[in-house]
Amino acid sequence: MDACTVSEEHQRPTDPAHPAPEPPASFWRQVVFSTDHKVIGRQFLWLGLVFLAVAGTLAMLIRWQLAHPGAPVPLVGGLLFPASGGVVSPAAYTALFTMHGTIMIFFALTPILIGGFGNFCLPLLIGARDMAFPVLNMLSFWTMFAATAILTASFFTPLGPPAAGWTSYPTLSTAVGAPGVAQTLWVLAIYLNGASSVMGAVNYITTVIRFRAPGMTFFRMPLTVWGLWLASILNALFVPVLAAGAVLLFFDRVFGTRFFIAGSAIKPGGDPVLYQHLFWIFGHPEVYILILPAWGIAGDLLSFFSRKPAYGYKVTVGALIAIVVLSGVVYGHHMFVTGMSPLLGEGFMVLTMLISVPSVILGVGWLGTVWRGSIRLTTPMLFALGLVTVFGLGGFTGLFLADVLADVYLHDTFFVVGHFHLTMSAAVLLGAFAAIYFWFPKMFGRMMNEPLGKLHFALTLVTVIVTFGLQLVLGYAGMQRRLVDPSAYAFLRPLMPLNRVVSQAAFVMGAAQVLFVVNFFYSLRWGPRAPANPWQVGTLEWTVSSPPPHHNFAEIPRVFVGPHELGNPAVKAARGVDFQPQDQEPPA
Amino acid sequence: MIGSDTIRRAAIPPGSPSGGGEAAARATVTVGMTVALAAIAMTFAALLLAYGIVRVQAPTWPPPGELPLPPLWTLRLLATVLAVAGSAAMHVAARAGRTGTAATASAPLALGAAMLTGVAFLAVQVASLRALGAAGVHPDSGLAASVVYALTAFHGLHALVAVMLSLALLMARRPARPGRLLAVVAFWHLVTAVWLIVFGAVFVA
Amino acid sequence: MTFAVALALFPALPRDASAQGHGIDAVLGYLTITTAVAFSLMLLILLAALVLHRGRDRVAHYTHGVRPRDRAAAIVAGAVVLFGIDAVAVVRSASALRSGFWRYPDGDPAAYRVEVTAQQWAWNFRYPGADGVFNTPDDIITLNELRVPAGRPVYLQLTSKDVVHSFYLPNFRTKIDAIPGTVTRLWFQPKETGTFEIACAQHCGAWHYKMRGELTALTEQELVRWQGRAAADAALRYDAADREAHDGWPWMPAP
Repeated sequence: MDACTVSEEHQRPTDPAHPAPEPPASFWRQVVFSTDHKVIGRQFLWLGLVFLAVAGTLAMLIRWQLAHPGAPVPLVGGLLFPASGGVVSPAAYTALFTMHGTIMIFFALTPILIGGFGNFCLPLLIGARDMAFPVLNMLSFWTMFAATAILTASFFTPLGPPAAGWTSYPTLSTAVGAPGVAQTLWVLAIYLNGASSVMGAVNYITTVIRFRAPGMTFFRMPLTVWGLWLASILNALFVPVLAAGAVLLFFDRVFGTRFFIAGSAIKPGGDPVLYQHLFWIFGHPEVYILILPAWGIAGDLLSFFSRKPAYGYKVTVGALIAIVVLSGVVYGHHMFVTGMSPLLGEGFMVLTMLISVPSVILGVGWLGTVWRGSIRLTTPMLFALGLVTVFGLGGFTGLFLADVLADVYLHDTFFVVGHFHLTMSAAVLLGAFAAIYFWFPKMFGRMMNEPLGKLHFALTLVTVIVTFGLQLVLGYAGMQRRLVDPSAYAFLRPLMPLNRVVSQAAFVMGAAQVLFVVNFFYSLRWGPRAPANPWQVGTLEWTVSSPPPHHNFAEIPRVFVGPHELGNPAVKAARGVDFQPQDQEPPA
Repeated sequence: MIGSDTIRRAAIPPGSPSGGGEAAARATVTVGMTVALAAIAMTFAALLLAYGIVRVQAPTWPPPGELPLPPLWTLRLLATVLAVAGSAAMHVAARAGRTGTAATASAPLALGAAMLTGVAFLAVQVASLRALGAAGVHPDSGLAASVVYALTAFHGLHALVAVMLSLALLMARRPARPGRLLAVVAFWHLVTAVWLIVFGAVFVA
Repeated sequence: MTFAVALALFPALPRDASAQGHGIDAVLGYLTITTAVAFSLMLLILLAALVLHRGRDRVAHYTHGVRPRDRAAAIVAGAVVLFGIDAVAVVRSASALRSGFWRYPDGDPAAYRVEVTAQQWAWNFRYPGADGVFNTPDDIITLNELRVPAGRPVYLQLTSKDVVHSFYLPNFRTKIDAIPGTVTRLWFQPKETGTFEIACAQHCGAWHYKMRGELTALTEQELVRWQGRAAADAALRYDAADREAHDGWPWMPAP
C-alpha cells in the first residue's frame, strides 16, 4: 500500500469552509463519554494506575506472608483478614496471588501502556487528528471499566475472591475446585477485558494503516508506534483464543458442560489440559503484547537522550516482527511437564530458543544507540536504560526455561516468578514510568520534578533487581511457587532468611512508589508549565502545544524525515539545534 | 453517533484529490472490519480447535460411555438454509447500498428480509436445543453434548448481535451510511460462514 | 554483581540423589555461566557508554547504524548467542533427555513400579505386592510415603482424583503433572539411600503448600523387610466392599 495514496486525503490543509471542530460542550461528552483519544488515553491511564496500586498492595501482603508466615499483618491485618485474626490464611493467600497476577497483567499493564499511552500517543505520533473509530475507542474504555467493576465485585462474594491463580487452570477453576460465584465473575471480567483489548486493536491497527500523515512511511514511524502496532496485531489475533478458553470455562461452570472436567468411570468427560493449550496459545503472545510497547518506547527514548539516531532502525523493526511471528509458535514451553511427547517438546524448545536471536539484535540496537552519544541522564532516559538492563537480565533467564531439561526442574519454581517479574517489571515498572515521565508534559502541560524522579528511579531499579533477582536464586534452590508457607518443606527452611530479604527489598520498592505519587500529583497542579518541546526532539507530538489542542494539528503535517534525526552535523549547521523536526524539510 | 462524524470529517478534509471523504472513509472501515472479523474468526477457530482436539483424543465419537446425539436433520438443515438465505438477502442489501445513493428502496427491504431470516434462524436454534433437552441430552450429558450446546449457543449469540445490528441500521436515519452497511453485511457473512463450518464439522462429520 | 549471583547459585541446588541428575546440573551450570557472561558484557558496554559518552558538551556521533560493520555486529552477537548458548544447551539437553527423562524403563524387568494417585492434599502410593499386578487384594497402599530401592529404576504412573497436581522431587531434579482423567509417567533412579522430600508443584488449592510426602530409598534388604510388614498390613486392611479404595489401574503399556 503506497503511503502517498493512502494519505492523500490528508494532503490538503483544513478547508476554511470546514474549520476544525470545537470540542463538545456537555460534561458527559467532554469528560465521561469523550471520543477524543487524548481524554480516553488519560482515562485508561488513571484506571491503570489505580489498579497498579491495588495489585502492588496485594504484592506487599504476599511478601509479608512469605517473610513472616503466620504472623498477623501489621496495621491493616485486622481490617483485611478479620476471620483469621489479621493473619493471611491459606485461602486468603491463594486469592492474593491470583488477584495480584490478574490485576497486574490485565488491569494495570494493559490499560497503562496500551490503553493509556497507545491512545494518547498514537494519533499524535503519526500526525492524525484522532483514531480511526473514535466511538469504538470510547466503548473500549467503558468495556474495560465494566470488566474492572465485575472483577472488583468478585472480591466480595460469599465464598471469597477468585483463587485459582491468574492462569485459572481447570479443574481447580471449575466447579470441582472453585465453587462459588467469584471464579465465574473472574471469567466474565477477563472476557470483557479481552473484548476491550480487541476493540482497541482494531482501532490502532486501522489508524496506523490509514491515518499516517503524508510522508510518514512505515519506516519513518517512531519505534513507539511500531511497538504499539505490532502489539495490537498480536492482541487482535490471540486475545480471541483466550476468549474461547474463557467461554468454555464459563460453560463448564454455569451450564455443566464437560470440556475441562476430567472423565471418570461413571461419567465420561473432557481434558483439563485442553484449557492449557488454549490459554497458552494466547498466553505466550500476551507477554510480547505487554513488552512490545515498552521496547518501542525504549528505542525512541534511548535515541532522543543520546542525541543520535536509533542504531539499526530497520533491523530493529525486523527483529520486532520476527519476535511477533515466533511468539505464536512457542507456547508449548509452558506445558513441558504435562506429559508432552518428546517430539513436541524438542520442537517447542528449539523454536523458543530461536527468539533469543532477534532479542539479542534488539539489545545490539540499544547499545549501539547509546554508544558514542551525547547522553543526557534525564529521568525518562534513566528509566529507559533501566528497562533495557532489567529486560536483559530477565530475557537471559528465559533461556533456562526454554530448555526442556532445565525447565523440568525449574517449572513452577520461583525461578519462573523471577524471570517473568524481571521482564514484566521492565515493561511496567520501568517502561511505563519512562513513558509517564516523558509524556507527562505533553499530556498535562506541566513538567515533573527531575530530582524526585531520579530518586524514584534509583530506588525502583535497585529494588527491582534485588527482589526479582533473588527470586531467581530461590527458584534455583528448588522453591516452588504459590506456597502459603514454604517452611512446610524441610528443604526450603534454610531459604526463609532469603525470603525475608526479598520481602524487605519489595517493601522498599513499594514505599519508593510514594515518591512517584507525590511527584505526579504535585506536578499536575504546581509543576512548571511545559513548553511545546521540552525534550528538544523531532517527533510530531512535540510540534504542537503542551497539552495539544482538541484537534491535535491545525494543519495535517507533511513528514520529511524519520523520527530520530538527531546529531546530524548538517542539521546543526543549518538550524542551530541538533535535531530535525519530522514536519520540516531537512537542509539540503 | 457521538462525535465520530465530525472527527472523521476533520481527519479527511473535503475536496481532496482522491475523490472525496466517502471513498476514504469506506476504505478505513474496510480495514477495520477486516481486523475485527479476523479477531472474531479466531475465537471460533479456537473453539473449533478445541473440538478437534477432544474429538481426535477420544477413541470413538461420541466418546465411550456417551449416548449418541439425535441428529435433528430437519432443524439443522432448516437453520443452514435460513443462514444462507440471510446472507443472500444481505448481499442484495450491500449491492443496493454500494450503487451510490442508498436511498433506493431495495436496501431497507433486503435488510428487513435478512433480519427476519435471522430471527427465524435463532428460533430454529432454540428449538433444536430444546429438542435435545427433550431427548434427554443436556450440556452435562457428555463431551459431544457439550460441544453441540456450547457451539450452538455461542454462535447463536453472534447471530443475535448480527440481527440487532441490522435492526439498528434499519431504524437509524436513512439512508444507511455505506461503510456501516458493508460492515454489518461482512459480519453477517462471517456468522453464516461459521455456521456452515460448524454444521460440517460438528453435525455432518 | 552478576558473577556473585552466578557463584551463589551453584551451592543453592538441593543435594542430587539421582543417577541422571548430573546431566541436568551440568546444563544448568552451563546456562548460568554463559548467560552471566553475556549479560555482564552487555552491562559493561552500557556502563562504559554512560561513563564515557555522557554530557551536553559531547558531540554525538551521527550514524544510523547501517554500515557493514554495524550489520556485522548484530550478526556476530546473534550468532554467538545462537551457537554458543542456544545450540550447545539444546544439544546437551536433548541428549540427556533422550537417555534420561524420556527413556522410560518399559522393557526393564528390574524397574520398580508404583502407581501414584494425587489428591487434595496428599499423595497416595500403590505398590503391586507379591503378585506384581495392580488393583489386586495384595496391593500395598501408603499415604505420603514412597519407599523405593536405591540403585534401580523407579517407574511411576500418576493420576489425580480431583485437580491438577505436580509430583516434584527436588533431589532428583524432576517433576511431572498428575492430571485427573489421564495417566502420566515419570521415572528416576536413586543413587544412594536416604529420605528425600516429595513436593507438589502445581497450585491445587489452599493447602497446596502442605502437600508434602517423603521418598525413602532403601537397600534391597531393607526394602524386602518393609514389603513383608506392609503386605501383612495390607492383607488385614483389605476390604472387598470398599470400591473407592480400589482406584488402581492396570499398568499402562508404553504408548
